[in-house]
Amino acid sequence: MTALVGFIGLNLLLIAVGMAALWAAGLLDPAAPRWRMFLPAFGPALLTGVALIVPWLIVGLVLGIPLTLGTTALVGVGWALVAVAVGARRSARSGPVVMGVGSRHNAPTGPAPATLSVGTWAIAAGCAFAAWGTVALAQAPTRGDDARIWSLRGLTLAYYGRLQPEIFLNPIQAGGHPVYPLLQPVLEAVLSRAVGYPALSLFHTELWLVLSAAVWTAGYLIWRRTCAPHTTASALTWLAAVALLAMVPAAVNNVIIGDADTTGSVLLGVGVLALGIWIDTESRSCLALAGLLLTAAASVKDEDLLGAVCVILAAGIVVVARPNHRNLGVRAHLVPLLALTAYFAALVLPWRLWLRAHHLSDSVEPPIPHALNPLYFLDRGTQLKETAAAMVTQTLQGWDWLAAIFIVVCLICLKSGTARRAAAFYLTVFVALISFLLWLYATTPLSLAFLLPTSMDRTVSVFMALTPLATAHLLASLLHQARSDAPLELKDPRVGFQA
Amino acid sequence: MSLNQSFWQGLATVGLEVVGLLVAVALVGSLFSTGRLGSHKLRAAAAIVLGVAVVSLGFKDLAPTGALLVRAQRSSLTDRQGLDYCFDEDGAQARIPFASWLRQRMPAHAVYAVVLAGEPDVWCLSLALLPRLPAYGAARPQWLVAFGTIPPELSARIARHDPSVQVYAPGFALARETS
Repeated sequence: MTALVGFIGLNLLLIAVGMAALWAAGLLDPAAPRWRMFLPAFGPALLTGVALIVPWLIVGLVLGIPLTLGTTALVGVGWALVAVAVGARRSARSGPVVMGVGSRHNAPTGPAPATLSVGTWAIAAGCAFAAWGTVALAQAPTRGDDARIWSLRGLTLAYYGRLQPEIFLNPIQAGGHPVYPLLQPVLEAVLSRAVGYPALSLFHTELWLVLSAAVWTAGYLIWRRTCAPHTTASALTWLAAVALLAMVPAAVNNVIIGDADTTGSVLLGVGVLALGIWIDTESRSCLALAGLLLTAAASVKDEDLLGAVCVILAAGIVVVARPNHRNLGVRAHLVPLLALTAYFAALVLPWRLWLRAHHLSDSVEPPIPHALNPLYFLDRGTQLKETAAAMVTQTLQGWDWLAAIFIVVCLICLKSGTARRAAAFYLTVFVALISFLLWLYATTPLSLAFLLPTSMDRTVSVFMALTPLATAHLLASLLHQARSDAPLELKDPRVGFQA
Repeated sequence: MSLNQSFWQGLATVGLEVVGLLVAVALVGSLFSTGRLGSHKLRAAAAIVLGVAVVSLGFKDLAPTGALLVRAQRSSLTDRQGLDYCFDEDGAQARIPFASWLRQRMPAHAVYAVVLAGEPDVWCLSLALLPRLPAYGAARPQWLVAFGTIPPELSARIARHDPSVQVYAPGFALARETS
């Protein structure tokens, strides 16, 4: 019973802090009645709470501040107060930010009754699915990399509340990956402290909630982006695309076994979606959310860190290369993106500096600077071919038609002009992430005979987790624009025969 | 299948899927009566085709994902069993009782050195013995754990009936280290 109270209490704290942050960013609709303002934002609030609090706890650990429930509450309450102050100031100054299609002034404030009904059913179905997973994973065993990397560090933090040298400095501990960032272990430790005992099995439930919250957040952002009236069919179509992220067996299995790949890639994926919506609508609320999510993603695994760097660079390239239709100028977009980058760097660098100070490295790391030399990379043609073959195979096996659907929806958007900048951004990110992973595997000193079979099925999620979310965003835009255009009529099939 | 074959076959599969979807969009677009396949028709046709593809994919994934969750629920374990599960993975179930025995004898926050032979791996053992910590660096271990093999110096202590050594079974022992 105490464990249940602790579990619920911790998640309520995360939701409360996340809700305050969403309000500060203008991602809640203050015009709506209270329950309609808060209820749809519970999932996004949980994800935002995790993304906001945990990276600061990691910085605290690096600075020697012990990880306790008190520290967590202090960081949470501190940020909630800052968020409430920012939100109150913003509301007083400019009124609520409305993130609709096109201009922020002509966007409708809420969905049509049909959408609400579909949305209600979708939320109910999603909640039922999430609840099922919560129960199913509540007593899952600790195995594989979870036991040897994540929970080993999480449990150490739960017991000691600091970076114990016996585990964190010992290169033979932590599954041979001492440099992996700490988001998942810190979350596990905080959960253990909240429930009052080492909650390794319950932690799978928390990871499942993070996955569910990520899917919910994506749906929420797209719903707000295209909050013009939807038909039941159109709403169900893009909702189905969003829900795919929690339906792909490869992603779900990764959560069941307690690995960090899905956690990192969904944070990265929702971060990419938020940046895509920012590029599409210039909504700074989404840019702020993207900053939090990308920082959290970069605090999960090394590949997500480099993935997040690729995403920020891709956003910069798209903003510079394809200025928006309102001619606000490149600078008006680059400055907020630079602010995001500064926050990202401030939260990610301390852990890296700590690793450097303790001379810790990973056996997977490519030999830098040699690996940056194009000649070195090109000289490793066999490794490149092996990696590419494994990557394509695992993408098809684990994610089925999703890559093809994503590529086609991007091409259609580029051709038709619907959300063109966002489509260009998603494609750029997709290609950049694949290229970076190809480089990483091709230049690693480890044997690919070992590395590819043991990791590629999980690694492809770095670039594949964003595909259902980007597809949902672009599909929603296509559906919205198709409805705004003049109505289409089906050909009369008899015409052909008469001719 | 050779590396080259699997790469090109995979790439061709993705390519064919993309082409198939584009052809389907064009076919659906041609069902509309208004003019050539402009942006307007393209959007509507793409939304229909890709919507159907996404929903189909969702339905296809429903059963295997549901099966995964059912299997996860059926494999539920108590917290302690769940924590020792990596012994099972390594085929070292028989050594779980020794780990429990060690936990009873070494105080929490003890620092130990381990001589490990066979399974489980060192990470699994470290997890099972937490909050006791493996010795690292200059820190002197308070305990020595023989896990699968007895090192010569410990054999000597056992032979002279050193009271600070406790033997669990042949090859398995715990010794308190004195300064």
